[in-house]
Amino acid sequence: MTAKKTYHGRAPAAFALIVAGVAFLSTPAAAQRSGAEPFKIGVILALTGAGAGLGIPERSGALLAEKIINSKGGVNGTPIQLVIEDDGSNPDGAISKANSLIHREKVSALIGSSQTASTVAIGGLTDPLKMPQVALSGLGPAIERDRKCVLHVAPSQALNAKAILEYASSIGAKKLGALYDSGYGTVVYNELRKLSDAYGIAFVATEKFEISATDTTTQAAKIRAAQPDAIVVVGVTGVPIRSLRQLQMKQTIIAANGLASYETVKSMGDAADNVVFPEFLVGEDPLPHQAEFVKLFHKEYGRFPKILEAVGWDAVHVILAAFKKADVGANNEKVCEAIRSTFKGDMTDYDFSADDLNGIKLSNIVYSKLVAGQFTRLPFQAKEK
Amino acid sequence: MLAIKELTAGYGQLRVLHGVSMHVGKGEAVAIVGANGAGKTTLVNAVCGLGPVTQGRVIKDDVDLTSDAAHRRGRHGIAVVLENRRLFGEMTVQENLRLAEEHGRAYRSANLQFTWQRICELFPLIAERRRTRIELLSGGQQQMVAIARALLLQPDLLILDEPSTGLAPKIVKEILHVLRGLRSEGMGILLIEQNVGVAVEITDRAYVMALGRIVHEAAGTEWQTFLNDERLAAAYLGKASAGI
Amino acid sequence: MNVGLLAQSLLAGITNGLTYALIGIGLAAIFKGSRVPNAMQGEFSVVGAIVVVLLLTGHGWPYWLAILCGGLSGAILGAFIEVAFIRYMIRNAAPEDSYLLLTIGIGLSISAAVLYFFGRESHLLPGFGSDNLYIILDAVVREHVIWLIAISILLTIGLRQFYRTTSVGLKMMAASIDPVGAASIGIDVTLMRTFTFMLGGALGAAAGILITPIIPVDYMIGLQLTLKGFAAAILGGLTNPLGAAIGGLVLGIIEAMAIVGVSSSYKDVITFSLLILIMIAMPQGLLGRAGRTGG
Repeated sequence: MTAKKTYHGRAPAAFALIVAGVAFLSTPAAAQRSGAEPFKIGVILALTGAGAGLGIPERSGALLAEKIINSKGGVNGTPIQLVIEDDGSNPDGAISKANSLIHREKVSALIGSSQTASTVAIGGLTDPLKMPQVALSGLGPAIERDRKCVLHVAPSQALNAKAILEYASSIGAKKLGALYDSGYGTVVYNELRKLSDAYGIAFVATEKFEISATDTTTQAAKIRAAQPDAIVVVGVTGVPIRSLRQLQMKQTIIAANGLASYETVKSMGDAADNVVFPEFLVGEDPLPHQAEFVKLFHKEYGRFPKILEAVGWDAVHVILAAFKKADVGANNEKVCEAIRSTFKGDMTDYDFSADDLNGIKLSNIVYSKLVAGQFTRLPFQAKEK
Repeated sequence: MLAIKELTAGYGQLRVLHGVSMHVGKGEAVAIVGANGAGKTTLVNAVCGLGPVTQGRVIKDDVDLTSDAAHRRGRHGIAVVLENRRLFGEMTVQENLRLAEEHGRAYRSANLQFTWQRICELFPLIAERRRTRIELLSGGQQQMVAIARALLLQPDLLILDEPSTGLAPKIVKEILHVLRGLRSEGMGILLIEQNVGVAVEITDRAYVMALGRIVHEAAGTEWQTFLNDERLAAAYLGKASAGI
Repeated sequence: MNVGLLAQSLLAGITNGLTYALIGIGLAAIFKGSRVPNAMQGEFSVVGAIVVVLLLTGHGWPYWLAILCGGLSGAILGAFIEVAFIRYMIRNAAPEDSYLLLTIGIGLSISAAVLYFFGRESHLLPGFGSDNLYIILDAVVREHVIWLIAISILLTIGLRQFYRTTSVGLKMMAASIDPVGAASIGIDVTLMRTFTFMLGGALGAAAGILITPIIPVDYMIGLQLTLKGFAAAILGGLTNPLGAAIGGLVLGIIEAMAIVGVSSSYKDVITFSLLILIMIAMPQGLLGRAGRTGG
């Protein structure tokens, strides 16, 4: 056997040099934000799973906002960068993604999530840090009211319920049927129940179905038997509306805005007619202040946006406005203060200093009606009482 | 007719057969006897393609069948009545037989030796209990059906693995009667039996197996009186040695 | 509660029940022929329906031709699964539970593939026959539902006859009851198993095609269908397609009656409580011991 070589002299020195070189190259540049370092915003959405119908259009709106904002120079000269993650429609996923975004990516603010449970979960992480969070879900359980830095760009279910009753009342409906799902449908229905007396409206038939139910014929039949003047539908698929129309029910259906999208319209088939939505954006006939956004979106994607896309777009702009006001390098408290003010979004007007952390008013609601599969804007406007 | 040459077989690491060679001539009735675990069933499985073969050959009428799949061996005139019969319990007698009959007709399109009529003559119970589910028949009745099923494949060599096991002597006698009749018509028979007394009734020659080897071959008078032979006891009690 | 409501609910129960039954029939056929619990049966339905949607709306083929191809695609997929996976596992004496795991994995993969290649949109197929609606006892019935009922009955009876009278059907049953005995009388057990999977695949695809005019198909619905189909098949005794059909009907009707008789909120609680009671009282399935041989 050859004698074992011992290494002295040049080899250790070379080794040390290599280690030093690697260490040098991997050390990040100076810690302050230089002009080249983008301004990171974390985005957590339901891109897969049951909530994907919400998250995916929200993402389209947000990505367009990123593109347009950067084309105009970003925020105070710094380009913005959206770091988008999928929570898989469940709060545990949301938490793990939020942790990663906050601690690893070191984002300056968070947008998310599409569904209430995930929003509340993320809020548990952002609230102690006072990191600004813009939620795309409506106001949820009581704890959300205490989280003054978690703002909502979607209306609360109470507002949705009020808007529905306003319209029902305007068409003279005294007896309503309700077909709602076991998810957010139940929340809205509870709100409807609380408010209906004030409008002199009674619910003569109320039926529940599972979120992903493939058929609700039997429930619809029970509603038909009660002969209501109009029917309220709250869900995320076109199934309940199809079930009602297939039973030849001709009454007006007032549906919550979760159903106001082209995908659900497609799944309704022939039933997509005589359905009224209290919502915010009718791409075919936008309000004057929405026209620009609608045009940009149509140019980019070749189709009209609806509220989900608008909500994603607005969320990014809300954060931007706050950082413009408070400055890009400001700490969380200052940004939170800046964000809690009024904001004119493209979807609607907000007042984030309001108690319900969105400040959307009844008078902001735009009513649309499905006529043979197309959205049309109704002239009806609900008046603030 | 059937020649087995240096057959070695086993399961995984376990060697069960060690270079077994034997043969059955045309129209002969040959027995294989030995204690449990001697390898008799492994041998049957190898001949029928139902078990793995490590080395050696299975040849029928000069055709090497060793690598043929089990379901393809019937066309060479081999039919087997397996240990425990292996009938389709939930199906009726008729359904069980029909499947074999169709294959038999495919193997030998003309001059069928075993027609439905013939089978019903040989086994009267079949006509009576056509529509009865197998699982409702007694052990003896099931054995009859199993033999009938094998015959419908139109074999010239019938292999039976332990046909008398668990059956009353009266039934065994009936089975032997049927087998004798088949023999007289020229059917080749390979009978695997633990029970030597049964085996000598219809076979002319026998191989004695022990521990995966053939330890003795007996024929004629020697075979007929083998029951009293001390070498038989030795084989069954596991005292097999090269001296025999 | 009036007659009209009862009639409508019963009809809804029968319609839904038949959709469960159709999946259950395919499940039972595969289990009967191979002892494999097929957790991806619903995916055959998704694939079959999507193929028809593609050919019909994407390429303008006539409906009947598209349906034929849809059914065939199920059979081809079934054959592929048997040849590529099942055969190998059997040859290597895989333990029984691993087949369930395999079919779950295949189901998830197919669901993901459908999402990847066809997107997340849901699709409806046109109903059979005309768009006519019939009013029976104050209940609204689409013409397609009548076709669904008729075809389901035909399929169930046809399958029963297939297994009892045709040579191939008997061979497929025999090959699964006792593969060794079957091989000893000349049955190609492996080929019979492939046929079983082709049959199960075609039945699954047919189910999907019959269901999709009522329930829109998308990449996610496969698992849901499989679960309901399993409930139907287990109710019926798992090896018995006729039992699965009856099990599906019973399941659908119980669901509808629970909604109309008690409350839509308690539908699942009532349905599954009743199912559990039935299984305790009749562990062999609805058709009992005799059911295990029939179909």
